[in-house]
Amino acid sequence: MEPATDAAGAASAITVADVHKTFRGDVHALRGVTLEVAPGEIFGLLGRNGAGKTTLVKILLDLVRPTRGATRLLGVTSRAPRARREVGYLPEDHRFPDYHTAESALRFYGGLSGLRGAPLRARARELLGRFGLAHARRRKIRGFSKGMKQRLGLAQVFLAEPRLLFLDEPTDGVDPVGRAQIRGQLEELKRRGHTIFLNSHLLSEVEQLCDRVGILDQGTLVRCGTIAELTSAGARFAVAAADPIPADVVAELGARVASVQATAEGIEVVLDDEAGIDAVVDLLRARGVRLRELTRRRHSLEQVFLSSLRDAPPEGPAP
Amino acid sequence: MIAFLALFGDAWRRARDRRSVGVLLFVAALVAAFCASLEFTNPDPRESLKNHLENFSLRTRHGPASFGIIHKLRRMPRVDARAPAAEDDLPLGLDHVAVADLEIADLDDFDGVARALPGRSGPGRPAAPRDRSSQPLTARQRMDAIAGYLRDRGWETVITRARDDAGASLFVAASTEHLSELEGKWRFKLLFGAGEVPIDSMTPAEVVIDVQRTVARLLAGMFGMLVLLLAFGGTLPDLMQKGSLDLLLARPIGRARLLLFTYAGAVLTVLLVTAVIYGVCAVTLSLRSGHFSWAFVACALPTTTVFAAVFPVAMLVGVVTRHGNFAALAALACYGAADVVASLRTQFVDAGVVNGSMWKTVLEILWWITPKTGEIATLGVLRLGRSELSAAGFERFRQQFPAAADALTAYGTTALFAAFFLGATILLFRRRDF
Repeated sequence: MEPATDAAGAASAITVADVHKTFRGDVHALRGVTLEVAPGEIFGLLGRNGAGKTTLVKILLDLVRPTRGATRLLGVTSRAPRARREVGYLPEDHRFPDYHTAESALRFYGGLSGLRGAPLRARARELLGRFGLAHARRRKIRGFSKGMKQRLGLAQVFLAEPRLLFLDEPTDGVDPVGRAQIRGQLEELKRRGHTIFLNSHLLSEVEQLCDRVGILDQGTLVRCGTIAELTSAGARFAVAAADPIPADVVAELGARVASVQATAEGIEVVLDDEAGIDAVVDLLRARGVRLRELTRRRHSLEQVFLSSLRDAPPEGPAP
Repeated sequence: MIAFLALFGDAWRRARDRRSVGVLLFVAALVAAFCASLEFTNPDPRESLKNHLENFSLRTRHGPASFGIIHKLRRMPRVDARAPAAEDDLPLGLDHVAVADLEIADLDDFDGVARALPGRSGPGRPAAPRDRSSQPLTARQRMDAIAGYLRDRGWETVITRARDDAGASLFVAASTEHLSELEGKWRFKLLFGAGEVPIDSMTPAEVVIDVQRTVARLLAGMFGMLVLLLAFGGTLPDLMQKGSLDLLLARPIGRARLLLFTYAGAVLTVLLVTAVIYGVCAVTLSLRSGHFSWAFVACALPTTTVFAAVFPVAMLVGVVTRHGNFAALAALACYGAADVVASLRTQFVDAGVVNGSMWKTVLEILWWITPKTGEIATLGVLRLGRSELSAAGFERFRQQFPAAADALTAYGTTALFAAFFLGATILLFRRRDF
């Protein structure tokens, strides 16, 4: 499947245009959110509890109606049921009817997605096998552990071979081995060109998987970009030397760059223009400093996230 | 269609999982076992004719299961019942014939009862008081009175001849093709012969229908509805639990269709469950009575209609409160209220409350807007009677239901009631954020 030439001919897999949502009691869940997710992209949405992440996903899936604004999935307005034909959704805290077995639940949801007969049965069994539930396919869900329910939740996402997936905390309640498996599945989907919209509190997970990240705070999309863009710390470099750098060399350097600071391994310099790093290296070598490593400094996603929040904790480092 | 089958399958699984449906099936199994334990013996024509003539009286069938005796002879006539003989000169081709020689002990007494019989005072209507001062009846009138009386007991052909001018001594011959529709005197056995019940005022067919009616009342009545609503009333609240509905609404199916299919799935499941229960009871009854009744199996339809009428109430309350048991109880209350309104209305009519009185107007309005659950059940029983009894037998059976509503009104207003609640549920469900 080639999402770039999808049937809908949509330039974006997801379009959110100036979406506002106000719940009863004047609770502003979303305030003019606008974003686009390209086909084949993995987009991570970060935010604190109550930031509006789940509300945004629910608006995209027509579970919640926006107060203002419009959303489209694969080029079709979210209000139309057909917009969800090629969509898989794993809600946070999902709950299956406990009178179903793993297999009957998948067949039930597959039926609602328009699948039937032998292909549906085969698909259900294949997914149960893929998510390690083949042994429990005839067991009632009420006897499942949290991890098993989460894996079943993921299995139902893939029933209709969706091109667009919404995953709300997909690894919640799953053990480390299971998490690695799920990450592997998502990476495989990414390679196959599927679009994934990921809500997660696990920043490391988002950092590993996502092409782009949006940070939602109090209903507003405060940051949005690629991981590299968000974590970039500007023209800040760390230089490690074999021996301590003499103080006069550091002072001479200080006169040529925006700032310089001695560190245990060497120095950290901040330049006005990253092209100036060549001159720094030339000066150090000319003064006989034996260089061992030159690294571009980056912020962690956690630092970026915390610093993006309006009322961020005081210890949160600025990017 | 695929989505409907998925939701129907879900309703079926839900029904199988619920204990309340298990209770219903268990009770149905007990009823079926009880039906299997019955043993019917058709009345003996000679015994029956003797019994009928000796107990010449005016009885009424007005009101369900009411067989009150209004006028009875003070002095019993002498009846010599016997097998027909060649000298009786009876027509050929009569089935189950019995003949009797009748000597009326007190003509004046006999005439008093005969004057009040249906045909003179009208079927089911209260008899006129005895008029001792009236002229004695002629022999012809007495013979007609006996013939009418015997036909009302289930005899299809009655031949009477006067042996004297006054008509005090009579020859009576009676026959019927349908022994099972001949009123008493007969017995039926319960619990595989452990108990024996003598019957003298009902026909075997009526007893079979009464057993069937009892089963129908069990399922379409308060008990059946309680069980069915407890099993299905929580369908929507369960679907609307946090995390459950998200999984459904994220599918490519509109909310209105989702609700309609959920409703239809539950109704179809109830139809199947009740059809199985009626079917099992019909089979066991047929093994004992010798007659399988499709009409009895078809009683699943009125039962399902009653459920289909009150289930939307549970759906609406379920969408508003998200509480399954509360939704089921609200629907059950609606069912009970409809029954009360219908009963009060019948009593008002019987009591002769005049049109235009405020209470009657209020009751009439309530009756028109509530589902006709009781009336639909009655129509089902009448359909049962019509299919299982001969024309004459059905006419006698029908007298038990003098105030049965017409089908169009009953089904039409009930459908409107269900449509209103279903529409309101869909409207609310479509506008809500989840």
